[in-house]
Amino acid sequence: MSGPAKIDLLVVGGGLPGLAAVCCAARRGALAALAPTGFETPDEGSVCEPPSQLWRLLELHQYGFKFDSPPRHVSLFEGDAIATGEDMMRDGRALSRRDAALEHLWPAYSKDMARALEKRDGNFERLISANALLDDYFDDEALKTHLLSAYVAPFGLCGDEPGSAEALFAAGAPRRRSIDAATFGRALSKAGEAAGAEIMTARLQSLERIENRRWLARFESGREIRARTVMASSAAAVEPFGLRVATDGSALARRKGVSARVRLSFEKKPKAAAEWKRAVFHVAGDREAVRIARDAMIDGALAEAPPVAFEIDGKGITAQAYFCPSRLIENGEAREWTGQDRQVLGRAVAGVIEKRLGVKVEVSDVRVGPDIEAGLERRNFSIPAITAPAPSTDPVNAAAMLAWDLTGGDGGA
Amino acid sequence: MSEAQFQNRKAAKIEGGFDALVIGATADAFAAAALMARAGLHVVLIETGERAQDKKEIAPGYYAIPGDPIAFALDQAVVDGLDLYRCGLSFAARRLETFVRFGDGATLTTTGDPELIEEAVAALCEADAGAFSAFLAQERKTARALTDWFSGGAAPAAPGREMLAASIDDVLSGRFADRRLTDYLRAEASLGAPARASEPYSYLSLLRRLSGEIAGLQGGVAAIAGGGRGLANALRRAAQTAGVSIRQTDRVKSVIVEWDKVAGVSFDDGGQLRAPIIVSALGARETFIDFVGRARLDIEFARILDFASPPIGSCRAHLALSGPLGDPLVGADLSRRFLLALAAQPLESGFLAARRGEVRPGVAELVFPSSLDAALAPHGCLTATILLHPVPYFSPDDEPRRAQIEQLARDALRAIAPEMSAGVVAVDIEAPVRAAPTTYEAIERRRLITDASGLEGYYFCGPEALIGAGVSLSAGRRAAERALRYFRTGGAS
Repeated sequence: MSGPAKIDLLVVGGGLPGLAAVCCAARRGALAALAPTGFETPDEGSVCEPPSQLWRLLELHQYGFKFDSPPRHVSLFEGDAIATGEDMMRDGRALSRRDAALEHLWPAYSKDMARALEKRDGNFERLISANALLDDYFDDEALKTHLLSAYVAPFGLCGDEPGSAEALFAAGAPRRRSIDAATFGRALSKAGEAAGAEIMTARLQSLERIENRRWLARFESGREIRARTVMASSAAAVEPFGLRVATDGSALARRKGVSARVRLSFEKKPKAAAEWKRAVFHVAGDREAVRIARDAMIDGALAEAPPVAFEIDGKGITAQAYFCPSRLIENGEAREWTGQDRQVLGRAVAGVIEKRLGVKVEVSDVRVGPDIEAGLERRNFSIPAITAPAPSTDPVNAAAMLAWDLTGGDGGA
Repeated sequence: MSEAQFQNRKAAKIEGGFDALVIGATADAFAAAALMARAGLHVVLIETGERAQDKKEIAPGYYAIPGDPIAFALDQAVVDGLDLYRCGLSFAARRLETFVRFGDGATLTTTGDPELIEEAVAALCEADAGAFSAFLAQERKTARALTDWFSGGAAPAAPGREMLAASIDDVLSGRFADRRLTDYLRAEASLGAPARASEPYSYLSLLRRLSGEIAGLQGGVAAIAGGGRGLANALRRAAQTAGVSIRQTDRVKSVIVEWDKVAGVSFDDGGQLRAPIIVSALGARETFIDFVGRARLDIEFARILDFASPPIGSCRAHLALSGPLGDPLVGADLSRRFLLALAAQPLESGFLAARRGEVRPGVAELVFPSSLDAALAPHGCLTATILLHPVPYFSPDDEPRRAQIEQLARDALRAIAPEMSAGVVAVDIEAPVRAAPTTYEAIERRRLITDASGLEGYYFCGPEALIGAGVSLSAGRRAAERALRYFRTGGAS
């Protein structure tokens, strides 16, 4: 026998979120399996440590993680920098050097965001744009740009979209340390094995609805699995595959464009790395520049100076360009990305970073994320949407908590 | 105090003895005033600003009626409650067909009744006809359940957050084999909307469009005889019949507030009209910030008013055409509604360009008013009204912008009727109308604005109380209902 033919929960989409979800479900006693789609983002860099609930459930203490302090968000401007992401009182004191009012306004803002994060219903702020919310709180244009690039841009939004204010609520989430993604992935695989979760290697081929509201999954290896419940590990891993997801009414799901990851190498470590240890740097210029990049993305073009987020490690720089078109449009015709386009993007990102850090960098690798729009065009409407965690800055935890909810009640029976 | 000021003050009158005042001269203002008067209140309607002209001669012999020549929704409770048919409301055409021109030149003619659309769609794409018709029926059913919510009622329990937050693209992309069907629905939903089809909450604008009922048909289109003025005249007559006194003034200076209750309005000359109930149909900022002042408003409430709506809107152009149209497809029947439906990408770019302040092609809705009322154009000639959306919001006296809009209107006409032989004699551009904010946000904002001002007896049916584009009279009805409840429970005494 090659495993259970009938299970309780099938997690579609692998990666860390998928692993965490399947482990969580298995530990709660459900028969759970993980089906990769092939659109997962690789485990690299560092991720947020799991919350204590998951920590206890999966007995993660056995794996001996090394923790890093939580990363701060640092925006680099021409001759200026803003850093947040520490304790809110300390951030407030640091920001009060820019504007005395921020000493009290910043903690008030953080608390409001934490409250908004909790409050799901009757929350008017959830419906408005990030720019409207930022304008309501702050005057400092650089601070607004900083918050926009740190919290909103990662979702491929420029802040004028309705509902994009929801992204800002993450600023109110408790700070957690970070751990190495690859180590965490290995630990989760072991924890999953120990709990009896099945982690498939063959990719999912099709998913359909069968009698008794059950699901039938077929795999490339020819295997079939019947599942009572199906969830997606994340919208991003499942939508390019052509499945519809329901993310509990979140306005943050990416609908346009893709994110690109650019790996850069340097000869001399930039000074900024010593000045801010454990930081995610953002270079955006101003909010207008973010909007221009977003517009270019939708118009199918590459922005000349894209807003960039990057981290510096011992060997090089890993940069993210959040606003890349899924397909490039030339003279009204859409076409796929070519090696040359990736080079152009890499150079543009390198240019932005060189200008701000003042060191020479070389592009070593450019990867453009999976094309969500192509998946959206292929969606299958004969099966209902599958549940997915709302897009968040901590997708691992979000997926685990969704699996936790889905396997509650009679999940383990 | 100078002698002249003293004289002025002496001349100013303070009048009382009224039950309710209505400020503004919109359709909703008249509806609210007439409904309250019918319920037995002594109502004064204060018409501010200039009265709009009935007809405008845009070229010798060609007339344009300002406003929308067609309508999608008319609140049945108002129509019945005010007996509007007896006050002169009538339809020049019901169940208008829509002729859709796609970006690639293909066409689709829908039936006037959405129930029968399957055959019409089969002419464009056989394979999708059944799916499209089933989808539309399903959406109309969903929309019907939301009608009360759109018109100002309580939030429905049925549709989940998932559905409310969906974008048009979420719901439509991949659904039909023929993308043009998606383009058609996207164009319908985008007309008058502030958000791109890929932005969250935009799906509600499609439901809002399908929920409207007019001339006894949900999701239909009808032309009111005399256009927007026809409706306004019927409402004015209904208000007069019900006993509303109508006063004209240049400007209301402020609203008098006594102990958290409104007590009347004052004018620039020092005169006052006193009444315990005031319904305002002017903009929310004017109604609350200018008339009452921040100091008397709840801080959280004033904050709601500060969230600006996007700087985009719709613009209507009236065109005078010499001679018959000449295009065989379009000219076959001019008493239809014509829609230019671009593909997803160009429309998306059009919205972005409008936000940046550029004029680019978007959705265009074309109607030939002269085919509904022959007196509007010389014999054998035509007038056309084109609604362009989205365009950057501009000041009405911005000449270069008007020239751009004029060109856009000419291009849209050419795009819908490529083989047009008639010449354009004249083009008249109306002042742009701001896009109503995204439907969900608009509904929530409306709830907050109408509920939370903290002032007793002050009711609101201004533009922020309207959901989606076009008239419906629901805002006026809701304001009147609330005012009457307040009056009956003794709040006004």
